[in-house]
Amino acid sequence: MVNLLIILTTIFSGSFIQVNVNNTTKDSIEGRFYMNPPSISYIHVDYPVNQILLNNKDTLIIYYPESNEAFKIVTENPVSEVDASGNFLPILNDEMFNKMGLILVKKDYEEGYFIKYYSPIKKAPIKYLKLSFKKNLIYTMEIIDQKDNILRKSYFDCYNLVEDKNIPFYLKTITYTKEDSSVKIVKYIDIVKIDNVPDSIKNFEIPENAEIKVVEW
Amino acid sequence: MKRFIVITMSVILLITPLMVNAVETNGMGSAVIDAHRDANADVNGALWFGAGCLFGILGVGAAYIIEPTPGASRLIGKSSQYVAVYTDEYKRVGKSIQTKQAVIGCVVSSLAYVVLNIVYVAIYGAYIFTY
Repeated sequence: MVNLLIILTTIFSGSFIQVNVNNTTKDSIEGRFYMNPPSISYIHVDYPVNQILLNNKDTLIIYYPESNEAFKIVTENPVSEVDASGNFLPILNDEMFNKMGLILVKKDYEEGYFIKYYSPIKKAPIKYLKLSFKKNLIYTMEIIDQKDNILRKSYFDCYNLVEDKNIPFYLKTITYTKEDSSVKIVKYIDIVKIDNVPDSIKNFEIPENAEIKVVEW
Repeated sequence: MKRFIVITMSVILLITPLMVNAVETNGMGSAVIDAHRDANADVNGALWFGAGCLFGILGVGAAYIIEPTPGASRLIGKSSQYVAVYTDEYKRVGKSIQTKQAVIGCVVSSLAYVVLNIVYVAIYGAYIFTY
């Protein structure tokens, strides 16, 4: 969820329901979010825990108001999630992919879908990012490794116009590993464009008396 | 009847902490499992094998120092205990994969160098490289 809207260029807010399913468990998460990409993303999870996640440039703060506990995760690689990992909104263009280190290498038609293949410029475990389009909107996105295995496949649906952008309000991602697979479904509700992120979020700080664990990545 | 109720209550009182403990352990167990799975999927073993081959002991050192970074999206909706266990375990496993692959790379390249030298000495009577 965090990186799903990070590449948008306008400020959005909304709520979401995320369902995670794997071989042994099924859980759901509900919450609200504000995105002011690329610098700030704020997520307030209401269920199953009361949790605030604030991603501001190179620092991710995770705060639990009820227990007054916090994690301050500092990374040297703040945009590392905006790569070919498969979790972003499909309002991308070639320029955006280039910024992510991917170039268009092949175009094709398969069963009525227009297909685009992107490859990393530098040598990487990923061979292709394969996108299929239906009516000019991204329908699926696959991450394919050097052995032609699909590592992750995402389905995008329920497109809605928010301002002038087509945004899928439904995203299903299947991640394949050697042993099993896991499914993540995200449904967005009431995504709206806003003028500014509220000051309470922009200026959010961990309370002084909170128990803080600093993690450096 | 009174005795039955007392025994039942006693059993419940004794079992409840164990059940709570079991639930907590299960939750943390899943954090460990998730961290293992994610670190194995994320960390590029081949890259660190290559680093070990090319940079020898430096590659091994880099593998130990440079920590892998898991995606923050995996921590949404998770409890603080889960986040604590997951982050620690992910770093531990990721670093272990990096170091192991770099050591293998270092050993393989050293063996290849030795074998190459033996063959070269047998043929030409001198070492390929001398320091």
